[in-house]
Amino acid sequence: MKFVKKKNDSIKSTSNAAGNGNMPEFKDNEVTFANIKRILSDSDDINYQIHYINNRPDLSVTLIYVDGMVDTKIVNEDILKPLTQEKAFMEAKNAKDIIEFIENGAIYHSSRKKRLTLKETLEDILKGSAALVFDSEKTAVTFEVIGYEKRAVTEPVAENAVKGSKDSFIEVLRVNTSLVRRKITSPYLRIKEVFAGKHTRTAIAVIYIENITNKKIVNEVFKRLNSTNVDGVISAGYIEEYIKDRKRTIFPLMLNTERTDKFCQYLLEGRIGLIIDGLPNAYILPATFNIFFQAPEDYSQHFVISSFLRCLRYICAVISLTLPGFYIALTTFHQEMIPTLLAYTIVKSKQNVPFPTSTSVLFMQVAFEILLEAGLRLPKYIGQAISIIGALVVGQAAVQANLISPLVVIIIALTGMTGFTIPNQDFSNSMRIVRFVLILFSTIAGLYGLSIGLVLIIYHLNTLDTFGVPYLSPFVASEGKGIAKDTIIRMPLFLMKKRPVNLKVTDKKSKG
Amino acid sequence: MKKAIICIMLISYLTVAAGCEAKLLPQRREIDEQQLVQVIGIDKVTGSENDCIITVASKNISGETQSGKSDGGAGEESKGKKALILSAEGKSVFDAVRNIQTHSDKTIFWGHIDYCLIGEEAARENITKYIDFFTRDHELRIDYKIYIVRGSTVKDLIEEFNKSEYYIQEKLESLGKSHKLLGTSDELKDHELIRFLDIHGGSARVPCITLTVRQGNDGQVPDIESCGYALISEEKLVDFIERDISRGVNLIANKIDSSVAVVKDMDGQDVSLEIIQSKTDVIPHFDGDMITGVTLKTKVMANIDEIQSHVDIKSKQFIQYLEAQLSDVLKREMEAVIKKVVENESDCLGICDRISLKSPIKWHKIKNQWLELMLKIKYEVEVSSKIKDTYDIKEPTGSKGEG
Repeated sequence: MKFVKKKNDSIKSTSNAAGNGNMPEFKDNEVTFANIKRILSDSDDINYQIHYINNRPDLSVTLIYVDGMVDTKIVNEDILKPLTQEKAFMEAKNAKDIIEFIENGAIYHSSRKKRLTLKETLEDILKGSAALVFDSEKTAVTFEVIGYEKRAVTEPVAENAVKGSKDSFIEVLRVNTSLVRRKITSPYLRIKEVFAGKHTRTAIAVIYIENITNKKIVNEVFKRLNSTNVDGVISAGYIEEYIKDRKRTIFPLMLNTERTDKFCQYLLEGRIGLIIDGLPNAYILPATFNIFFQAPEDYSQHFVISSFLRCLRYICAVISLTLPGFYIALTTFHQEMIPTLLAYTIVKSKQNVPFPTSTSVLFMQVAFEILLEAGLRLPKYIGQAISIIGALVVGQAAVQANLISPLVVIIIALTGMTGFTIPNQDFSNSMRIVRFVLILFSTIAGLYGLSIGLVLIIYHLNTLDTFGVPYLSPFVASEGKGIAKDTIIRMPLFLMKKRPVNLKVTDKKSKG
Repeated sequence: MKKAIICIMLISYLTVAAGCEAKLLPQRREIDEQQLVQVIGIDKVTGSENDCIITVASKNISGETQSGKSDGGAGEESKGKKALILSAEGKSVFDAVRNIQTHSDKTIFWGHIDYCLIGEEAARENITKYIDFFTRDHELRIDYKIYIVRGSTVKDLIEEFNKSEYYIQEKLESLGKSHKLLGTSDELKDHELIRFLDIHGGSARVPCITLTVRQGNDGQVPDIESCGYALISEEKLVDFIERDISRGVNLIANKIDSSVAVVKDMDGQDVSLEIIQSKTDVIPHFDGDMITGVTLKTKVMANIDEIQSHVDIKSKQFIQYLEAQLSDVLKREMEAVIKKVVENESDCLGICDRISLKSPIKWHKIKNQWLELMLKIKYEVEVSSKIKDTYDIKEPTGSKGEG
């Protein structure tokens, strides 16, 4: 399996830990209150409190935490209360004893870590831990007491779940990983975190099932993640664009999902998942062409129904891509191909329209895209109404004013509707752009141009690969294996005994 | 970058290599700037340096029609309802086709032609001369249907018919469908005609239509009806097979889907029989390598569709009588057709094709002399009919009351 790096697509790999999300090394690395205060400076949300342990002034400790990120109730009950009242601390002579007692459970908190470096201490504090800093020992003990506001696990917003689990990922990494753990309780499920973003230091969980997934792909994923050099990871594109194979293609090379069942389903096939802290989606890679047409409901329904719906999606994708270009080609270059009765209908509908067919189609397609984009930006309570009114009134008015032929309106509406049958929004978006290219080709050279455009698209898709897996597999490069099982049609589950061949997984059998 | 340049060069090369010398890209034409012609007619012109006149009909979408003449003739305007009619003369068909463009505000598009009507005079001169352009030109398909117009010019037929409430293309289409019900004619496509002419030494049969009148809502209105077949021999129209015997052609050629035969019963009353199935076998008789005769054995199945008397139809005698009547009628028609075909020396029935399938080796020896032999050999027609069904009722209504 080759992982081809193109010259133009090379990622800057740096051995400098500062660029890839690791905390920089500090000159004075001692864990003291003064050092921490110096580095964190005067942020008003950082709390510094000096407490006397068991009311003994000779035994003081500094509590440091970020206000708003910790659960203060836990801090009070589980950390401060035992520090003040726990009898064990009465026997302590110095800070070293205190630390020993804490390590052995004198404080009622399960998640505690002893930190000997300033870097580790600061990392913990900034991630929502409360730190007890012992200046005399140059040591800190941190407790994970995360208490920031987070969203409840709700239904997916962008991907409707018709029949299947309705929980979706949220912005908190640990909650997301727990959702995955609940579905896959295999002891071989691995969740390994890397950090990305110089200033955000965002945690990215790489999830895979060790005894299934191809090790080479796993290693390549880690390699690419560790070599990303970004300021911060605020949106999904920051990671996606840096680690995917081909930067310039508009086709998605990683599957983006917010559904946990879909995520886990692909992990079981032998793919790798990425969950990014702060983002409510997850990525699946390597993502090949056919998985963008799959939906989790395909495995909840009878295989005949699922196969029918899959075929429908593929047909709708072709229609969505080629219908406007095909219409332009027929009406402008190849009128003899249109049945005569339909030709007369088109002529009648196009009477007195001042614009050529290609201009009308282009105009309506752009208007449709504007409507879609405006619908996204408008507030929810007026967005839907504006979209409907815009479509109806503008479309109707344009037809009645003889600016547009009614058939063009139907063509564009059909194009839009069929485009939305594709389960993956990223792929659907890329098709929106490709459609314009095909419209242009058809305008220039009719069906000949449309054919050239389609050939170029297929050629481009054929040149893509994602983490060593050809993008169009299993349709190509698989010697016919796996084409009939779970691509355009879905075989009964009892016949799908093997994992996808193109992933070259360790454990090929998917049963028992 | 290098790949992008190679792609652009390849695309440009493909464009050039497509064979377009003058223009690299296909020609752009908006569909609403074109006039989609569906019916075209060709008439011979006499007394002028022009050879033919082309008349075209397309659907009148905007509700106006006009007709004009080229070559200095004063333009005539006639108001029609359904079709936009144009006509133009020319020294050749192609010349006329180009001249007709000057009468239209749109570009005439020939790719939707459904019917080609050829005038009787033009067909008598040479039918292939007038259809060569339509067969050769790249813009036209060769699946349009051909009719020969009898009794009037094509121009007159199209213009007269346009005064009726129907559109001529729709009327011709309906006529084509009715052939299947009547069995007295058939549709013939251009590619079938040219193939027939090629194989049978310039002989063919072409369906005919004629202008007639019928009673409409506001009096008499023009109409088009089928009138049998035109016999073509050596690429020229030589004679017609009238409608009363044209069914014989379809029987011989096995092109009957359904037909109506009216025969007399034992009381002399009419009985309508529907022919539902027919098959004609051509059996050649050879004396050594020489063909001496051909027997046409026809088997026909029919149903009783209408009885005007009260005869007991359950009796075997009655059925056999009807069957014999039917056989006689059909035999007469077939014999009349064969006689006409032989008289006109036209190999338009395709009998030779069936002989070549039946006896290919012997046919191979005589095929070059077939046109002479077909005039000399003996033709025998044998028709056997069988009545199968009487549909929903067996006995005629009122027959039980008779004592």
